[in-house]
Amino acid sequence: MESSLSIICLEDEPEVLEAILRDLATFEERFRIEPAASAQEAREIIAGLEETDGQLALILCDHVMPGESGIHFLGSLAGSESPVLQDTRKILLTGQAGHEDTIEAINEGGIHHYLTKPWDADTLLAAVRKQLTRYIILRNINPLPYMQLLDAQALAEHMHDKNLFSEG
Amino acid sequence: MTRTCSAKADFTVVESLQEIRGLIDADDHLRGRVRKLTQGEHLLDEATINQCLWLILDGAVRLTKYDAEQGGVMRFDAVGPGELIGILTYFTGESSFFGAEAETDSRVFGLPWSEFAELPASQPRLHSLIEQCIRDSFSRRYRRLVELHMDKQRLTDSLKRERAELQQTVHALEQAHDRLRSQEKLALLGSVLPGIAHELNNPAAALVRTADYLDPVLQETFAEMDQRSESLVFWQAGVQAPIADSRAQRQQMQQLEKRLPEVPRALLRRLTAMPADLIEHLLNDFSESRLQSALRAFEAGRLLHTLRTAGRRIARLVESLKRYARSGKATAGKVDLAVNLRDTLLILASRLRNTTVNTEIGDTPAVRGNEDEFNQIWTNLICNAVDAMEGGGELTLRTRAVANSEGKPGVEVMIADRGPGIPSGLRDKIFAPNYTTKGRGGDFGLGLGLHIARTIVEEYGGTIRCEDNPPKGTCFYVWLPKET
Repeated sequence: MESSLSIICLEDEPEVLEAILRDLATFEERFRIEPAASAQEAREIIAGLEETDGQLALILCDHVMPGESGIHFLGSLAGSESPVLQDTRKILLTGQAGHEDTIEAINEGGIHHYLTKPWDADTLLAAVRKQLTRYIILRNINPLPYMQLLDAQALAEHMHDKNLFSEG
Repeated sequence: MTRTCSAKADFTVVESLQEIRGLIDADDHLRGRVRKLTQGEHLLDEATINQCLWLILDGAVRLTKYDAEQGGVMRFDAVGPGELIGILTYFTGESSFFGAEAETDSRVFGLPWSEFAELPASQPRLHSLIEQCIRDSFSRRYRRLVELHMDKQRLTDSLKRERAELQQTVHALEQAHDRLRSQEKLALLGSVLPGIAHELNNPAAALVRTADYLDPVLQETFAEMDQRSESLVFWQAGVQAPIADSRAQRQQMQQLEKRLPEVPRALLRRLTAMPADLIEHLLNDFSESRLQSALRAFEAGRLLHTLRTAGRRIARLVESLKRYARSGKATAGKVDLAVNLRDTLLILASRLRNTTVNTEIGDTPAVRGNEDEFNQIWTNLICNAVDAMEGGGELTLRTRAVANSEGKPGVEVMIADRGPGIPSGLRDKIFAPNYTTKGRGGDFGLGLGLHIARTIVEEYGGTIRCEDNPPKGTCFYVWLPKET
């Protein structure tokens, strides 16, 4: 596998997790998708990525879970110096979040995108595609292998800008 | 602010005043200096030049001052016999600080400045008596000043206290308001729930029925698909096998990536959802086409399973919502708790399959209540206990006839688990509405289970409480009064 970019899907209900994995199957082509049923498990995956010099491109995370909440988990990752977590995109997928939770998610959790349950596959895919594209650009990763899977136009513009800079 | 004349004139003052009166009366000139005032008559106007030192012989004189801020005249202490008015202005020559008017019909002795200087020579006794009055007056004023300061301090303190009390009251009012609002919300929820529950029930039932119809159709289809009936096996596994947990799936994924590096990862991911023995079965004679058709059958089963599970969950959720909305409207009768508890245990048998259940359910007197509602209490408590023990553990149910602390006869039901226990600080909270740890309790994570239980118990005059169950776990006690 040439790519070491991972996506963590954190969701405590197995049926829902399964549905998410099914919806995201197309990204498996270029990204390693890791299912996790709890914040604890997600941390273990991140620790594993640190050992193998992997990078976490995206976390798709439920909010209401037994034990640690999704927002709390994402908040705990904010400001981490771990090379795995640099520029990691965060999407909150939740069926139950009040006004205050939402504010906390944005202020403390550093959420990049917010989706409500039940979701439709197109909206979820569009959000994931947009965030992964952003990640590739931010990390200065060679966009060519991702053109087909992600937002080709945005990636092409990024390449164009880079070329302009290097020539100027 | 107004204080009446202080009649505290002590004996020496009275005596010296008597002497002063005698000395004045005995002298024609001095007698001419005595002025009679009728009630309300002005002795001195504020902000005018004062010519005399006034000594009150009889009656009372009130001091007044114009208050520019309030725009009126403030009236101060009335002063009585032996008091002097105009001491300061008399000596400094400044315009008077106060006004003075007769509180009652009074007699005052006015001594002009010009004559005061001659007094030591002409009337040495009177001079020394008046000097004594001046000293007494200053000392009284000084004491009064100190008292006023103390009064002011006390007032400030009590104001502070009152303000703090007011803040507390406002806070308590706000809390009461919040409580009322949340009760109002719950009441509103109760009134709209039956309608919503009905509307939700139809699509939920349709989901479950669809899954039931689809089941034999798909089963036949997969049975006919190949001679070895392999598709049928995978289909059935999809319908029946529990969903693999995420940790196991990840491990399986790592192994599969090593064993089948040429197979696309998305395909391997789907494979990890299968039970391990079926994966092995596929790998024994691996081909991508065989994998594809096995996956198709397995996932069709899986989808049907999810469809059915989701539908059932909605139906159960709706059922518990309906029960919640209905609570309080059930008709009460005699209930035999032993029968009632055994019924509940029977209904919950599938959830208790991994739990050791000890029962000490003997004959107890009948209690007043409603069987369905009591079922709900036991269901909620038992489901909570099982969840706390993560599906396993040891559950103890015991009933006994026992009087409450007021000596009222009744029946106590104890439901004890060996879970992690409930910290004492949370024991009040757990009965509040919306308190949840999001387990799949009797109300499926709505956080209403214990609240419902308490509402029902209290409706029939009973009590519910929880305690530690040493060495580990929680013990719920429900006490219900005997049917009379």
